[in-house]
Amino acid sequence: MNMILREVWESLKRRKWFSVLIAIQITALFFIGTLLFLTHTRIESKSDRLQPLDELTLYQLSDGLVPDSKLQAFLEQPDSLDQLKTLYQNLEAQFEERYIYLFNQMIEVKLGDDQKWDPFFHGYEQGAPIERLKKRSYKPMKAVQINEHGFTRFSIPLSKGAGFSSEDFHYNGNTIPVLLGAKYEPFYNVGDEITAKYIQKDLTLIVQGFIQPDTFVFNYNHPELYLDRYIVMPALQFDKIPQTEADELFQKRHYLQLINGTIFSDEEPYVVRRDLEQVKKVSDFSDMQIMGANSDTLNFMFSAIQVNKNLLKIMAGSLFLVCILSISILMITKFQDNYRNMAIHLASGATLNQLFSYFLAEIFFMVGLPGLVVTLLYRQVIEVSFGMYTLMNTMLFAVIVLISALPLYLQFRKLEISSLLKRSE
Amino acid sequence: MITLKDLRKSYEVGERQVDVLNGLDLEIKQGDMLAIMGRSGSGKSTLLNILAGLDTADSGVYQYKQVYISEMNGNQRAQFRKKHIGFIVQNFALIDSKNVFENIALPLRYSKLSRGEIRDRVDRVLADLRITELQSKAVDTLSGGEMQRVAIARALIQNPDLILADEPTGALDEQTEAEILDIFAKLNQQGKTLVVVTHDQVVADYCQQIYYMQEGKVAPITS
Repeated sequence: MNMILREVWESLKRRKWFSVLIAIQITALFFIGTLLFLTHTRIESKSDRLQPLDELTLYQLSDGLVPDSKLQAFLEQPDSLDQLKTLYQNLEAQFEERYIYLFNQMIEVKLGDDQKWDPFFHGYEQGAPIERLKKRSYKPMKAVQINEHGFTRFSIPLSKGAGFSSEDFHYNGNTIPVLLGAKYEPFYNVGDEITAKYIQKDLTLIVQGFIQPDTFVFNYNHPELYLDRYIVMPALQFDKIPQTEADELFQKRHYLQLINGTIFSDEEPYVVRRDLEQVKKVSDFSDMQIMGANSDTLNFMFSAIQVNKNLLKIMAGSLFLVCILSISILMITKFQDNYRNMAIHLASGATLNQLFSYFLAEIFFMVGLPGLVVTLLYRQVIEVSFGMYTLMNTMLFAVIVLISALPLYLQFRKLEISSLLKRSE
Repeated sequence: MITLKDLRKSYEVGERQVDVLNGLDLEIKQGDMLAIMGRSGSGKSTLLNILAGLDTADSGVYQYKQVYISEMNGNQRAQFRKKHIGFIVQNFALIDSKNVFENIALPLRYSKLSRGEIRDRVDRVLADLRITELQSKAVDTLSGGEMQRVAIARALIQNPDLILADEPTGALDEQTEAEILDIFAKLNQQGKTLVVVTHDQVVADYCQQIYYMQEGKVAPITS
């Protein structure tokens, strides 16, 4: 063993820059492997989360209460709130988990004038007048309202706290539970209260949990809505009769939003339309239509995922080939460079097997050390799916060692000792 | 000590087969010092490699004392080499990345000796060849004569019965050549058997017997 270590160390020192070049090459390969692993993990998780939605068409519902005068007339009807509530309940009953309400309506939150909140402002990316908005005591923050079916269907993963229960979707008269995007995590804790206004109604929000980074949802209008800077609210249902006119107006406006949801269905369009007609009929609400059927959003996402997967495979395969080829070439060059010393070892009593073991040990060392360093770095910095990552690196290690050692082994097999001695002349 | 009978060895050169050894017979007695001369490509080095157990003949018998080397496999021949052979390769053949001490100690590293034993043996050989002061030097700082002394020290470190030398003075000046040949003569006086492959008549004249190699066979010139 000592002899092997001694020879490996000397061989590494003898062609220092050559060894460094190989080590860099292998480290690069492990880093690329890490990037591919992370990308793959992300794509796979996205693909897994979207799998239940594969082959669905999105039917966006829209109330027909336009122009404003028509809307105003409807809101002034004494039974309009009951009508809206009935319609919403019937939509949920008819379409069940296929009816998803996901709407990004901003919520105003009472916050200090701190620059850190800027990216959380509603419209930040679209160039909202941040400086002017900051002067307000209630800042308009990005928020998403989601119904219970939506919450279940998108299976929003949490890093802390608890998700919404069925009761959370019914307003208790005091507080509203919310989930905060991952970027909120440094600023709030589970259980914190947030003073807010939603559709001009004063509310207290309770932080119930934090969403994992890079979580996204989507609807008819937003193919990918990342929740990192969003406040996620349950799409509330109000079981009690409103006590004031303002309350009633608030509920009416709120339910008007809830009925403009999306039906995710794999059924034929005429079936969806027939079912909707039935809901309209039993709810006595005729101003409702399907704005459009859109399978492109999901198709686009699935084909994008497929393209990403294929691209990833091609990239991984090409990079792997290039790296393996260059490592093999470098090792063979090193082997040929060592002909003279091999002859001296043989004349000193070594066997070819011993000489091969030196090369093998060197390959083990040169592949193993960068692999170990990259794996430990990953554990320190990233740590995502560490078990799988370690398994992948172990396999990568084994494959590189095998592929690098194979040409050497073949060279050794056809090697004639006399040729070594001739080369030493 | 050594009996070679009807040794045959050929190489493929392109599509042509070249017979390097063609029924070679040779007897070497314990304590002999013999030179093998011949033109380049006549098979001298091949013969030396076979004697060292580094190469094998295609057919024929190689007997060392009571042992048939020609029937051994690679590992057995490595053991034989380690135990009985001291090989001085052309152009000194020292490993640049090792210092003098490590170059000399190399054969001992394959013998599972303790550090102390290795140190003792190397010290003894260094003293015998009067190169103790060189032990920690890098080999690329040595003169040709010093390098050859180190190569001889490495060949002697296992205290072999048989010393094989391939053109041992080819790269040396006359004075250094004479010093090296003196060392060989002393070793022979101590009972070592030496087989020296050379082109140099001066070297051959130091030996008790000179063989000439031609057409894959050896024949004595003087005795």
